[in-house]
Amino acid sequence: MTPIVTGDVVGQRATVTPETDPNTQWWWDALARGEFRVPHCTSCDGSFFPPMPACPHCGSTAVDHRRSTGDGTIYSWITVHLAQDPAFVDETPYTVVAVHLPEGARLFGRIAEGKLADGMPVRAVPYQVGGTTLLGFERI
Amino acid sequence: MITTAPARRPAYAGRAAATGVGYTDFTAPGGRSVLDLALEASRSALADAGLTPADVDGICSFGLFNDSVACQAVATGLGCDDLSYVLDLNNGGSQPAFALLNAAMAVASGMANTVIVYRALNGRSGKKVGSTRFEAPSSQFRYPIGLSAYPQYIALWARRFMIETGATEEDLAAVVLAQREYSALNERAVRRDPMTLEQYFSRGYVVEPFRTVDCTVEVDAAVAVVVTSTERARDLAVPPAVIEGGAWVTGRGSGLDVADLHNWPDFSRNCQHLLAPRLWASAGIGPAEVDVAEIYDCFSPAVLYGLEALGFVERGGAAEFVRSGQTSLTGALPTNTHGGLLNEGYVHGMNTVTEAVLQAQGRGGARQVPRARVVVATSGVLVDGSAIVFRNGES
Repeated sequence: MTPIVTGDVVGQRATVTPETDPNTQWWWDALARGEFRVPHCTSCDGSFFPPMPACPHCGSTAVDHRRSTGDGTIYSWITVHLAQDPAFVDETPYTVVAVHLPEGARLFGRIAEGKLADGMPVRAVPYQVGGTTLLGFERI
Repeated sequence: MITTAPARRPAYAGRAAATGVGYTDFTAPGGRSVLDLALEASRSALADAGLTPADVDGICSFGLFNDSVACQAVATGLGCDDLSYVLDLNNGGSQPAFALLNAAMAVASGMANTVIVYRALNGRSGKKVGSTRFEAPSSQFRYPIGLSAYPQYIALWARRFMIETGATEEDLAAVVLAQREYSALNERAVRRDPMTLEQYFSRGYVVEPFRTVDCTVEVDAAVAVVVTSTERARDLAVPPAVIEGGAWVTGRGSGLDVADLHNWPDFSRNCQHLLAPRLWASAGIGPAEVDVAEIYDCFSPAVLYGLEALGFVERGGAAEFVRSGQTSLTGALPTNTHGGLLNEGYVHGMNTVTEAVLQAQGRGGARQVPRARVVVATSGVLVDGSAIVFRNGES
């Protein structure tokens, strides 16, 4: 399979490690363990992203999180030809997808080069860059 | 759906007006401080109206990522007497119309008599909003994957707009070409060369589907406008552009910060779709009564979104409207008569609003729309935004 990130990336990414916060640390920790989890509201049963202290659908603070298969569909995508951040210059062109999960949340991640289409099925796949685990997607 | 749109017109409607406007050079080599730029534009706007700093009792401005200077600095540099109203806003391009509405509210409520509204930044040589990294709750889900700049965020929206409406890259080109016809008439504009379709497609991608010319051009500049009572404005050196109404919206799904794209339900409809009913209700008019539209266009598809959102065209009809010349000087709805932010330069839409003021005043020069009485200007193209309606005060 084509790797999600190609090019000389190790060592350039010190400036782009995720700046986690108390709302999100658990999500990154789970991803690093290889677990893909989605924030969930026990009041309205809605799912959402990013992790936050209250549900954006109903305002309830009764929020937890649930394991997800990470299966979703492509909502939009871009291919970056001119990197705005110098850390990504050696990776261009690269593609970022917006993915809708059936649970009801949208996430963004890198995907390997190749044809894309509206509604194409993809799956979340954690990948490593310079010791940091990030969220990517692969076609299924 | 909007459930809180006012059924009646707001208290400021018709009672406050934009008067003098001031600009710095947009193409100067740079090297000046933001305060220096802000003061030049502010002094120029006052002089345009026949006013002096002694007449000013309010100042309102907005910045983004600390790229501006505080209103108190401008008050100090102008040598103003005590001010009774000062408002430092944040959040960039969603703000210009909203800033003028706040000034109008201050005037109509009696809190101030004469308010300068300015935007100043070294957007080319200083902090470039297009690529500035900033700390925000959603940044951790963007920067590490190389989703790091506004051209990229809005390209994600544009792709969805193309999926939903059938719009093509030729449709984006139509916007760029139409607005180059205007910028050729605008000595202030940075990009003034006419452009053919072939030339458009010869430009490289920044981020698909955007080429360089689909993106605004960043400048070191300041723009200012003076807001006072309609009654007082009638006695000043330039005709009043009466503020007839306006609207702000933070929609459901706005997210956690200005670049959070996770929760907005539909990338093919932006904040302007949500605020349109509120905007028209506030001004007591509908889109059919508008003579000129100045639509915030940090990127080319924003014009297509805006034409649809405000009800000037049906869903999916914006590109054909542009291509058929309806947004040109002789078309049904002259649009972005300064050449847009795409060509004039990026003062975060403050120059979109001041172009609307000039058109409503009949001071658009070679690009003046004949018999322009009602002019609308929008601010913002993502999740939060504002808009304002001006009417020629002599009519």
